[in-house]
Amino acid sequence: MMTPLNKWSSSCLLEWDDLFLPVLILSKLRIVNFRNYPEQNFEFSSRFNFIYGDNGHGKTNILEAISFITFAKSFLGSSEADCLKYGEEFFTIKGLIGSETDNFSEVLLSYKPETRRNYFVNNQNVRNISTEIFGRYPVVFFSPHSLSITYGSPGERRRFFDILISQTSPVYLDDLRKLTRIIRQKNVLLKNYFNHHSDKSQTGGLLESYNDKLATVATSVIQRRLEFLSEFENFFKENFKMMVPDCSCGLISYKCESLPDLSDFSNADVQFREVLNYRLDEEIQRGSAITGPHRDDFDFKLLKGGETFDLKNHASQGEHKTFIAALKLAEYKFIQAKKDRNPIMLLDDILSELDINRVSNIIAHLKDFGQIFLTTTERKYLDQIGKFYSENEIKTIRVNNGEAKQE
Amino acid sequence: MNLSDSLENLIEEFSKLPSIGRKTAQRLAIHIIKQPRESVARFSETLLNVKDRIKFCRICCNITEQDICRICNSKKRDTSKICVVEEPQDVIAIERTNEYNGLYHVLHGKISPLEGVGPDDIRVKELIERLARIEVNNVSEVIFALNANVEGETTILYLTKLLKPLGINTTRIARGIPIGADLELTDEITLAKAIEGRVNV
Ligand SMILES: [Zn+2]
Repeated sequence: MMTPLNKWSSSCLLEWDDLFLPVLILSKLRIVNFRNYPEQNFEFSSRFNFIYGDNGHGKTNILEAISFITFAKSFLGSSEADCLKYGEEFFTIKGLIGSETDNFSEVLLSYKPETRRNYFVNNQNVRNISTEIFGRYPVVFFSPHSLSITYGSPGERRRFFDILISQTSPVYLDDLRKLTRIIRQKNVLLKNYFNHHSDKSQTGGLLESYNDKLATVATSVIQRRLEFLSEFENFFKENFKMMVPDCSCGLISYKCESLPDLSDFSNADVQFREVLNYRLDEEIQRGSAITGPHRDDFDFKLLKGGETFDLKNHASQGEHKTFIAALKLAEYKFIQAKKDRNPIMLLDDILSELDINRVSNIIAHLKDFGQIFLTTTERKYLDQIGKFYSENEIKTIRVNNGEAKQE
Repeated sequence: MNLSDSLENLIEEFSKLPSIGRKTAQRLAIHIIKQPRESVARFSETLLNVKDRIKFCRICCNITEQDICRICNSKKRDTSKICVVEEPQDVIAIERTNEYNGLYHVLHGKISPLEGVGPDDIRVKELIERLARIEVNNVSEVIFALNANVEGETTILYLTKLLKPLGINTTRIARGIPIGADLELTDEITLAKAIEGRVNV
């Protein structure tokens, strides 16, 4: 399969490589004691997998299992313990993942309450899942919950972008982890200081050290988010245009309250440190670290007829849906360009929120790239999907009460 | 199922040890049962001996059987350098290199407010007093060899500030790629840090 040369490709040395992007495929999956499945084997199509059945019978569980072995986490945020079938002592998820050019790897996740989770790639125990697995098998999730990215709190938007940037930058993931740890430590110090639990000068000294460390990590996180956004913007605008051919345009900007000047990072950590000093009293009063990228936001706007509108307060439901669909498409294309491989696309029940035309639009734009999984309650949508693929490219799976049957 | 109370107690004790889970504790306990009596007696005696004899060095806080440890007592060590580490096993690791000839200071932990560990809970006061003491005022460098995580790094920042008035040069060990490791196989974070800390050639 040929894909056009992409100007955003991260490798510039091996141009011949770009002519042939490896397509990441999950070809086989076996789940045992996972959610409501006692034991189930799947063979997937490398193109389109249509999974249908009534709600509550286990469609989403298949996608969740896929997210566990590709992403090392549940895309719904559930813990492993939540996914253990009632009354069972362990669960396993085994998948065969690879691309047409690489060899396929056997990826296995096993979970037991006593030993917690173990992750194996080709029978080799993976020790550090976050550095070795995260981002290795890129995936894009799209479910009705994704709408909270535009409707929800700043935290939802940060989460979306943080996961996206982390999938393409392990250093960013490491910075984020440090940031979280620093904020948690600092919150304890601020509370201790306020409650006079401890020697004030000592706690003050420790707060200073944590603020010094925070300044370095926070400015690095902000800078990486900005760098990311300047690249991502182009993907987003392009995909927004594809969704809505009229002249409206979607805009994303970074809202940062801790740095006055985002154009110059030459002494950003010094500036950030000054802001921290300035806000120290307020932070002590509140007993909470309120300054830093863990409080920032990504601003979504619409440009219509020469005017910009705040998406959150002024957009219609339809505009929200267009925006989120464009975001998800851009996420897919961004990862594709950055990782030089096509992510696996998981479309979970999105037809319940997005109409079939929007979904068809997405599929039309992705059909030439990678593997897609779609769950729905309605078998009738299969006809629409059939317009984009030949019969042997679609695998239809019917889910009924913890049992999946291929049609 | 509980086979015997005394066995259950032993399993319980083993599982209190760091990085020992219930399963391993069971295995260790069963192993003890199979040993001859004298070897078990020797084992329990050794445990008590360690507890009774081991003290902390008056100078560097490392573990020792004397008042002052072998390293602090040695005439061959370079007393102008003090390497600050978290735990006694870090001293052993650095000693194994045979490349460092200075003295040590063992903190016995690192500062972590979340775990309720403040400067007074580790050997910070001992370090400051030691450096301020007149007879060792030839110390020209304090080298921090703490773990490269948030707590280790902020402990270094905090101690550096405390040491500043004493006018002693402070350094930290470099982070980088393990010798002999394949660049291709090194994880991205280590590699990125190594690039960040590059040196002129
Ligand atoms: Zn000593």
